[in-house]
Amino acid sequence: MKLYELSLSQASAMLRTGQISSLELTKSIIERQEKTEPVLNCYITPTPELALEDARKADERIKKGNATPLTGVPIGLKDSICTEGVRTTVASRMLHNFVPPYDSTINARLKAAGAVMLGKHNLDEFAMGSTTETSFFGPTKNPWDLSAIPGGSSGGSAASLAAGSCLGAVGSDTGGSIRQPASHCGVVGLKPTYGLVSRNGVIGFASSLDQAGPLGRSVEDVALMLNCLVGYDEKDQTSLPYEAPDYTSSLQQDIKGLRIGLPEEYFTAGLNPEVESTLKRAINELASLGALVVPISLPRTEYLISTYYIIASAEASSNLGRYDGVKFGFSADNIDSLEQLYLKTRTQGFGPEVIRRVGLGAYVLSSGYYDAYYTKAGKVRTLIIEDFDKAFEQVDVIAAPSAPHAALDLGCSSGDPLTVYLRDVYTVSCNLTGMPAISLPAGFNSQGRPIGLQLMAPRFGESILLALGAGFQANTGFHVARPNI
Amino acid sequence: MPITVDDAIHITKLAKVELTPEQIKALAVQLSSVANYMQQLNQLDTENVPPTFHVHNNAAWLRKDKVNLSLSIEKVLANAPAHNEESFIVPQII
Repeated sequence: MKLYELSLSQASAMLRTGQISSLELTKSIIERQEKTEPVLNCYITPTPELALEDARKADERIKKGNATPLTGVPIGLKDSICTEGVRTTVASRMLHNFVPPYDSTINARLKAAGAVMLGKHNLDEFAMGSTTETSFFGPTKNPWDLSAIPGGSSGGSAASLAAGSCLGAVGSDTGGSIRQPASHCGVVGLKPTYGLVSRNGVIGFASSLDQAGPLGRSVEDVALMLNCLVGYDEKDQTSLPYEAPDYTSSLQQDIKGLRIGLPEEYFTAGLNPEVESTLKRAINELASLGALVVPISLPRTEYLISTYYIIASAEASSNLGRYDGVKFGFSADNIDSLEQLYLKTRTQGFGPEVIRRVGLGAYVLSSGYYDAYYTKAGKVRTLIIEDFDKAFEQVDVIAAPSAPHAALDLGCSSGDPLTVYLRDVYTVSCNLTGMPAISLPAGFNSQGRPIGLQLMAPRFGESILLALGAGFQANTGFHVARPNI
Repeated sequence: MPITVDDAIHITKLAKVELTPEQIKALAVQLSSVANYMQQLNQLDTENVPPTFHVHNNAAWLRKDKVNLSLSIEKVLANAPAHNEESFIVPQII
């Protein structure tokens, strides 16, 4: 097995027993990065020199005996997560030259754990999208099929993991941006409960929906990364003072008798038949391991996309008000007034999808429309939370597709925005409600493109997701499949 | 209700962007399609439903009022497009 084919857990074990050094492992992943980048474009800013420096420090720490499970492991970060001294662009011209003067809490935690930093992964601009095609730095390709998207917005993260140009990744999820690309690239992705992972230093899209989380090649990998990422942070006003368990202890948890809800509204005539049959097989697999399958109803499913896009756009238009050409980032030339500075900086600095969403957000918050759209969406959000709270009285988790279809062809994000937005129907609920959810590799379609199974749990239910994921993975082989690249 | 070209012009003023007439027309069409779809929320009776803007209702944690070290001037200005070592420089306002 080549070093870049290892899972994070396997590599971690080999590092701690001295079978390999972090320097050797990191050099191998850098080689893999150099080989695959011209084809895939997963990284906006690779950091091989920094990685080698981190690796040398990690090897010393391992020798001294005070390593953590992530010490010496090569990891990539989505380029929406601030890294002190390392360019952080959020895939936008607006921040193409921004070098953060401080570390995000996420990066500080990874550094304290001794992880090796490989670089910053590509994403949709400002995390607004589900294809990674809106990136100012060009699209990322899916390692399973180079004519396909990797998904988004954490497309660079998912593709890099699948290709082996990192062994772990941290992405972010506002409407599905960890789970959907994980599904499209055949890796595991987990969006934590809102408030568990600090948003300090995560470039904001929609503050009540954003949550960063791990992507990995296995459920064990994700559990190890979650242990490092979760924790109260006083710098994030929405961070929760929650005593997290050791998530790796969930991996041996018995899943017999766990109740899996199947919402009747999710399995309709519109669902791609290959996704439907893959999911049914996956759920039968879990049932054969002792889980119980329970039909449920989530009656407000049809209102999810409207609710999500009103709230997300409104919050985005507020968050992106700070980009004005004055304090950092892109600043327009040939201006003769402050107003001109704002107008030209924002028009030239933002891509068309960002402008569309900021525009929609400004509209739904504007005088005369605020109650009809924004307040109304807030009320429907309450009803959606009620739907899920009721459902979780009968079941322990809810199963769903991670996306309505496997990865579409590159170019799929052009066309009517509403058609594109409707593809997020299976993932936005967890952001609106704050619930955690995981996407597990569950099969492939006839083109060889991966399909993921999504499981959603009540808030703080990460352990159940990991337990079911571990059981599923142990009895299938999808998570060890690697693309031919 | 459809978003007109005048609505789209107003939106660009709120969002502080300047688009060409063709881009404004296209924005009006695209946002109309989305806004029309969103009218479906009116099918739901939300008369006595309180809105949710934060899932945990904890957005008002308070901390002790003590001075903490923050970023140095050098770090704050490090990414500034224009500065004079102590301030950001902007076009004259008055």
